[in-house]
Amino acid sequence: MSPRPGFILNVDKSYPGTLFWHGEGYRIEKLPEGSSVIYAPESLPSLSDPLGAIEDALDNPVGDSDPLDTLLTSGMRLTIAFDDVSLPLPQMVSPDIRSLIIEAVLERAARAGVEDVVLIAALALHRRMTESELRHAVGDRVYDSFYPRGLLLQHDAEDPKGLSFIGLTPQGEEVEISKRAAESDLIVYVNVNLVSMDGGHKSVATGLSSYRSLRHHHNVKTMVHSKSFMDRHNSQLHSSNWRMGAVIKEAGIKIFQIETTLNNDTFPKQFEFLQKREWEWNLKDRAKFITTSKALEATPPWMARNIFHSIRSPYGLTGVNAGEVDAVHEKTLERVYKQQLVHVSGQSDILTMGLPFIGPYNVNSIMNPILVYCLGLGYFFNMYKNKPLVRKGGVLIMSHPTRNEFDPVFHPSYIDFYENVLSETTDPIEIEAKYEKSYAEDPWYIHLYRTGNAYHGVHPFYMWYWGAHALDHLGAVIILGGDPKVAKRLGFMAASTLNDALAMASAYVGTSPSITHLHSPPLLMAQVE
Amino acid sequence: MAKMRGLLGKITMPFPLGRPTWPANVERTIPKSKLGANYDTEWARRYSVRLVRSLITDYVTKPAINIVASPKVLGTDRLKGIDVPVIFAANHASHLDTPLLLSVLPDDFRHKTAVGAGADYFFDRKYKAVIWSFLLGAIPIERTRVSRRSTDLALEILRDDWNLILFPEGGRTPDGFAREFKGGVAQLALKTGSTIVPVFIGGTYEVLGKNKKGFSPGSTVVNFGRPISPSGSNPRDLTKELQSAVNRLGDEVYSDYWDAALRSGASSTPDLADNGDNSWIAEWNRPRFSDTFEDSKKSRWPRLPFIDKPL
Amino acid sequence: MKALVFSRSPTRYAATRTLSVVSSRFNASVSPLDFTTNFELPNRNLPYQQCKVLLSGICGSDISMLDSSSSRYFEDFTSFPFVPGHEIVALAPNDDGTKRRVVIEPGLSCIVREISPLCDYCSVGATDKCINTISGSLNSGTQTGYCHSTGGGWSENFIAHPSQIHDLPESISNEAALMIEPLACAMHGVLRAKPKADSEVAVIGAGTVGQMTLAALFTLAPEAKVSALARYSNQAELASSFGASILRSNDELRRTARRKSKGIMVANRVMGGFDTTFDCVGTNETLSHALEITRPGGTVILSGLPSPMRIDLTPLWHKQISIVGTYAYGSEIYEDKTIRTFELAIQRANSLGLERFVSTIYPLEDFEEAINHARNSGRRGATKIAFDPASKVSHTPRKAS
Repeated sequence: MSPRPGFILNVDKSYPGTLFWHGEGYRIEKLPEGSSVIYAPESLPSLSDPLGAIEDALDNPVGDSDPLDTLLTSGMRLTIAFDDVSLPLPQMVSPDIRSLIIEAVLERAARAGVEDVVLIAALALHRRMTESELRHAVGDRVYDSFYPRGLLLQHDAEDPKGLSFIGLTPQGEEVEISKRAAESDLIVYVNVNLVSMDGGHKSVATGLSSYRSLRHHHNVKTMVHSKSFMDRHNSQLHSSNWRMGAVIKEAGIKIFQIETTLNNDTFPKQFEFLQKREWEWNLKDRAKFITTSKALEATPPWMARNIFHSIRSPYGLTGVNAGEVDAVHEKTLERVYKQQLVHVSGQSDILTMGLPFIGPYNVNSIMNPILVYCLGLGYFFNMYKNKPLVRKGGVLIMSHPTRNEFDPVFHPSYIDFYENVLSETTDPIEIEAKYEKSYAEDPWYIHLYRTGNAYHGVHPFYMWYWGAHALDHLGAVIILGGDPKVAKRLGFMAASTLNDALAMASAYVGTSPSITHLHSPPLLMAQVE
Repeated sequence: MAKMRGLLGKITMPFPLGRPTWPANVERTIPKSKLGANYDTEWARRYSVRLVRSLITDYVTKPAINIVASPKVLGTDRLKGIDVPVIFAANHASHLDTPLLLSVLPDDFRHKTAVGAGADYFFDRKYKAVIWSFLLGAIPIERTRVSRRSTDLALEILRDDWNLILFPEGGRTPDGFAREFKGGVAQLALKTGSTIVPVFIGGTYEVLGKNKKGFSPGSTVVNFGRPISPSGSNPRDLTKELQSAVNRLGDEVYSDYWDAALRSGASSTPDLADNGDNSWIAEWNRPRFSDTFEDSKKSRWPRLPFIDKPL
Repeated sequence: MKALVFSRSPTRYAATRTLSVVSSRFNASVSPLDFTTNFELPNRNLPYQQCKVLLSGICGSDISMLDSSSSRYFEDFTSFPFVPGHEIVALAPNDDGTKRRVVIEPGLSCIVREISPLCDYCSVGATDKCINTISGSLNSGTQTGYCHSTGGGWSENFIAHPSQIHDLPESISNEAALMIEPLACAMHGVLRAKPKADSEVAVIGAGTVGQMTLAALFTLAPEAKVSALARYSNQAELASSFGASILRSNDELRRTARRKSKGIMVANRVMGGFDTTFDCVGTNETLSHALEITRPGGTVILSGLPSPMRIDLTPLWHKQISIVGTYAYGSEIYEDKTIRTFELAIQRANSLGLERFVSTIYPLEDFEEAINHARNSGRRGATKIAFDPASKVSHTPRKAS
């Protein structure tokens, strides 16, 4: 049976209920009659021979690019950059697709006699990866041969000697990227495309850049006008990155972009029911749901977190393309949309969603309140093309425990942001004007970012800007099952049951609102007409 | 054995209670040997035997191997998702190689893998044949000549979706250096279309080499290579490719992946078989896996203060 | 006359101390404090005057005395038996027999003790530093409320020297007036620290001492940037009315210390930190914490009555921090003028909404409940608990809007 496309369920009297993610747990909620539930398309079949597909992509590049073998010559400087631990989510089962591609590229480089090779994790302002995460991404062999020699690097956006100023875009945006990358004869960028935001010129222009460069598109104004930032052609975030990409190209920096797309196999066998439609659950699925959800209720949060973060997704590769950035990215988007796009007609008054245990920035860590905000208002809200799933002035109900918990190693600046900034204001514009600079330039955060595993001091601000478009668009946000104090600090309300949440929402959207539920993960993107 | 038979002989009952004696003037045809390459190992692949063997492999062989050989296993990621059956082709230095390899194979392979064993050595007596085919799932392979019977057996096994471990050198190295690979593996692979997984085994020569009397416990390594698909090559080239793949896997272990890749690209991978015309210098320089791991020198048992006195 | 009398009783002292290990719930009943209805004040001649108590507060130092957990330092500066209570709003007699509302400055310095000549400190107005605590015409005691001769606030009447009596303007309610003594203490501490205009100040603790310190900073050093550590939500609410940024845990305050000074923080060690830190609690934990969050060369003001402690002074040594003690009140030089701390406190009292801090008023008879309430004031959402000898039932004062 070929995989079925996305589906919109119209809730009627004989509807069994809907699975809501709730952080490190999940539950069944009954939505009112007449609500719509959007299901992601089923997983596309994965390529049967991923290694063959990679070799094929390297031999037959798309767009204006020569095959990789002709680009590799003895004595050249080669830099291989790759996406960091924020992709894919959860981490995929070993071997990671990046490691397969990196090894394929290295084999060719070795055959061509390219000795000067450096690998760089394109962190931008993300935290440095831990040893095991790096190992997972590049594979043991590559790690063991490159890391001890200092040839496997993590991009350092605060190393004054490691950055190179490339130029200005016509709009006056500064372009600054990793010096090693800029001075290489060829950059091979190995990307994993989980959502349509990733990849393209954003890979190098963001992944290998610095605060000086990033602030031109990671700001409130850009984010409010990116509708949505998941829709490359209607996103100012992307237009800015594309302008920067042009500057990089003009400066003579050659990029060989390799992009991969994954299917929707997010959960391993034992959790497969999480991506099935509820009315198709069999006895086994129901038993698994009941035992796991009850067991998770009784499990302390830290332990549940450990269990969930040890999940490795059996993602299958749906395609790989290599060559010129633009051409590659267009093909990538096509495949991402093929897997994720669902056509939805009309906006609703209320959008509900269950937020899972993981987002791009809390891999192997705690989903703190700011990341909850970002996942809901940033990522999930923006999973649309054309217009948001919820009308302007509508209400977003998102389900997550939203505990006042932070990871002091990975997110030190988040704690201070929560305590010192959000206690004063939640307005993105005010936050940006009043606090961003002092956090971005705080030497302690910079130290922790460069030497520890901390996100950069300015990163929580970006999280807040990521939700700026949603804040601007929505009438109210209700956190279902959230800690009331935390919800208040974020500027939202908390409700203990779905009925309470809907009752609270009625103050904004009336007593008979239309409701849409985003049944995700697996990820889906709504094309709203 | 002879002694035992003699002993039994004494209590042998007269016919018909005992075995009939052959009248001396009746011509006696020598029965066809059921041993060596002709030994039928079919029974050893039956489900019930497999089950017992898998229990022994997991709960006896593996722990024992861990004690004497502390294997470090590399490259199993390269086995993910490949089509079975496959032929594992490894260099060969010790009787330890087979149980070691069996015990470190990923679960998808471990319990459905037969081992090619020298028909002349492992199957020359009934009791040996039984033991090896039971314990290791060994099948007899004629190593001195290409035998129809051996090839057919291997083919049959591969066609039954059993994986096969073969040592293309045809025997253990006498000196720690590898020997030239023989063509049988390549021929078999080409005939069945099975994938070959090159495997490098290191350190077993030091633990239990040929001509060695007992174990010297130490560290070993098993490095699985990228599978080689046999399509479109001839046996000679395939054998060469296999040998250089194993050489490169060895190079990977003794240096690292990237150096080995560069050397391979420059066709300068050190040949594991190069013994420098038997010069002592080559022997002196021969990489030993246990040299590269400090922990192999450590005591395997907790040191007790009252025993651990310098002598 | 009704009074609560504290007597010297080694057995009861020991019993309280032992019992405290398990629970302090019954300390008030076991401790050497007794309610009596036939208390007689010692005879006193002029100029001493007998005043009638309107309200008398329960101070943290009273609680630690009752719990036998305070230092025994003051034992020999005290004369037994005595009536506790040094935060007193009273009626003082006028010459014409009428009475006026007053607030008592409880310090028993040279003038009060009729010692002449005055000691070196009292002669310049620094009565807080007076060395004569046992001589003169009164028994031993540093303050009213620790001295046998004067009586104290936890009774119907007590004896005061005219120099102790400060008249109250009409605009200050009795409840607000009750907070003048602690406010004066806090003002004395703030003026000892003299925070510079834009300096970063931390206040640890948001009980009476903490709140009054915040009030004093608010009115005397409005330019200072103040962060307050308040453990309970009602404390936080009160504290924020003085414009302080509120922090709810030690960790939060530590991180703020680092953030504000752009310093570093390795484990709990902050390099950088606040210019001035007020420890308004005075326990081992709070003083250690104060040393952690104060910047190199900064100052820690010890405002709360300290309990005996063992403390690691390495951060003090390493960061060259000064610990400054502050006790009571005397004369201050403020805006180039010399003024009694009490007068300054009375002047500023109107603008601070002090009556908000008086939570519950108890009759003397109900002293066990009152003291338990005061001991757990933070947890029970209270700040100041007081006695009104004239009242029959406990009540919450009417809050001024």
